[in-house]
Amino acid sequence: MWLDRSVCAVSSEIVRMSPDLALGLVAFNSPYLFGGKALRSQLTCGACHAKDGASGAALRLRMRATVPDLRGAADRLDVVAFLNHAVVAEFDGPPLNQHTAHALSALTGVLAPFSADKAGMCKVDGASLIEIGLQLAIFRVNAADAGTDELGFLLDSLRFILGEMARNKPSGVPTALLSETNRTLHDVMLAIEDSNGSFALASLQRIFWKWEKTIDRPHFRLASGADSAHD
Amino acid sequence: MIRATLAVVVALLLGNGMARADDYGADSGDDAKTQNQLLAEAAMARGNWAAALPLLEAHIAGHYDDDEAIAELGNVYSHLGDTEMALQTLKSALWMNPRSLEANLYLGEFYVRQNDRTRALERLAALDRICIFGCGEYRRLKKVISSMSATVR
Repeated sequence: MWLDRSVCAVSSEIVRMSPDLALGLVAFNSPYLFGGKALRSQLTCGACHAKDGASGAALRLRMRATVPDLRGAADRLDVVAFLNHAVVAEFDGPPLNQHTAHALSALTGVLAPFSADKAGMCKVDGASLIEIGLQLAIFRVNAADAGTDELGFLLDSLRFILGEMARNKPSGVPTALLSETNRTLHDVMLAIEDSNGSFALASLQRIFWKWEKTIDRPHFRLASGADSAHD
Repeated sequence: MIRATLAVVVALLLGNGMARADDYGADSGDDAKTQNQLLAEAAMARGNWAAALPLLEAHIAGHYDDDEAIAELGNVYSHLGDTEMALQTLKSALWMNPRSLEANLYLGEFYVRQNDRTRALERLAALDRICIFGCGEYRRLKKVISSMSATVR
């Protein structure tokens, strides 16, 4: 998927984004927003809305309601209410956590317009999502401001993205790193459930550094918090 | 041989339920059976387990090797409070396909309802092994188990 120029101002090949936008990106690519058949099919927002790297309409599903171009909808809809309706009424999912709903709303405002010229825009691929998600996890564990459910959603969503990368070779990331990251996120979740935040934080930082050395630029950075994790 | 044996087992498990399914317009055509399954899923989504039961039984009568549907049938029995049929049916589904996400999930939830944390955790561990990169079934069972009282066995 592609993000608009407004958030892709690059300095030293680094794109900065807010934790909210980072959460929106992970949630957009998570199957755990939905319930019922959508969950079984591991359907994500991105599976339908970002086929061409933009916010194009859904391609695979017959919906009861018209599926709008998300970027266009962001300017004329109450996006949070729309998202809640889509998740609960269309996909039998649980009511959205308000933090996640606002994060997704923030994302819709910066998705690259459908069929737009991509000059100056930035592409967020699977590896970028992992880099962004790991920083967000470090940020939230470090700040100790997220509940177990919220961290579980984040970490499990990242594991799903890793699985997609493993299935859709070549991802440009060594299989060994995908496997190690998957195991690490699994163990981090267990540590969080055992209130072992220091182990969780150290494990996340260690695996984040490995991704830093592996993936192509540009690198994505959270606007606060996680910078200290790698500097 | 295994499937033939299982057909007998499942038929025995289903008992009179197959006859009741005719009340919902089941016939021998594949389309009708698929419709039964769809209607059963809709009923289950609404928590209408009594309505789902004959529909699922009718579907399985023509698809006795559908381990997912058999697991769903076991889950329906469990919700209706028929613990003996629930356990037998869920174990049948798991025997047919030990890697079945539905069978492991529903059997785990069955054990949670029976306050048997140890066996529920065994199903959670199985889902953890099956879902290499995680899955919704694992997340759901984990959440249900975590809500159990610490005093149960």
